[in-house]
Amino acid sequence: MQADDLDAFEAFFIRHRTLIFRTAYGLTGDRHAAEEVLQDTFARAYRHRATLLPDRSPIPWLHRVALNLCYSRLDRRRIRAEPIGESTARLPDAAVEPSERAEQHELRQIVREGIASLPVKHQGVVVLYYLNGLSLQETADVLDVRVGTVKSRLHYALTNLRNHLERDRRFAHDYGPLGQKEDLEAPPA
Amino acid sequence: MNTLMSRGCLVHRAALFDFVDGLPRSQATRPALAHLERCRACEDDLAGIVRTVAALRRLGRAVGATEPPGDGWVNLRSTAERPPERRWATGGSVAGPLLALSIVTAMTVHLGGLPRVDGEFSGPSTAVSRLDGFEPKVLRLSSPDRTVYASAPDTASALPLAPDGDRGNLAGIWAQSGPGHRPARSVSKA
Repeated sequence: MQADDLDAFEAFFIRHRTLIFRTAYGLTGDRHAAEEVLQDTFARAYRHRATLLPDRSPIPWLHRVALNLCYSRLDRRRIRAEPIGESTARLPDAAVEPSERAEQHELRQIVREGIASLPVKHQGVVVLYYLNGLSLQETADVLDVRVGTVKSRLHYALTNLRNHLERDRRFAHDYGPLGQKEDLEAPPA
Repeated sequence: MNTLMSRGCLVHRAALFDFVDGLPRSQATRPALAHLERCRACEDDLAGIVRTVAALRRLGRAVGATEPPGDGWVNLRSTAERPPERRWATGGSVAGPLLALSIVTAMTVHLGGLPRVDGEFSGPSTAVSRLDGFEPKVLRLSSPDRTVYASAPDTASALPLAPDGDRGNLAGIWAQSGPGHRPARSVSKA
């Protein structure tokens, strides 16, 4: 891939684009912004193709570039607040009732808002680990930190996110503290 | 059963988080689970974490169902084939100092070309005026008929300029640059 071989770069792009796109989508919550981040990330990869080592996975480098691009976009607040699931909710799914789909959509939006309220470092680990399904080691490699640091950030992120979600009445109705759901379903006489 | 979290709860917290996350059990898992059975505070806390993780994984499935656009390569290829932007070989880090140096050089050359007054550089206007012996001198004289006269000390004539207060005609105030010089314009009272 180090040579000026567009065919090889196309194969490189096709092999890694989905992972990078989902990371960008998970962090921005905006499909259009994720597409732009995907393009910018691989454009940079092409410009720096000479520095990519063939014996090392390019995934951490690509992820780092994509995360930085997402962060800079989030900092500039140029991203529309389209919640994650907006595009997937449009996918035809006969097994899901419209009302249930709307409820799922709303819950995803609440979670997305909760992630957006986290510090940037915590957003990164949550997106990579929970939304993109990377392992602890892969997440650590992408962020260039130790596994223990990833776990620590995940714990803080989960605690903050739980507090955020439980403060949201829409979320608390179904996912509130233990015992609350039963109380809501069977109000005292 | 404890209802408030204590220091002992914090000891088991990391192991309980790992347990919720489905990570492989460690030596800390068993005592953490034993603590969980007798601590209501940790049970409530962990239940909230379980719900949060479940919500995240549900959102993760939605993210995992998204696919990148199909025309991504077409757009990227056009970007890749575009010739790189031309930049100075030395980069932008020297542009600032070079600009500053050129400004300083230009100022030095400019000042060096100016005449010296009393051995020191003078500003252009002062130097030129002094070298040319050009000293603007204006005398404003008032008279009983409210006519303003302007004259120079070494000029015998006093020329009427404008009525007092008529600043529109002050352009007629003349400056003497030598004996016998007359103003280009003079305005007498109408």
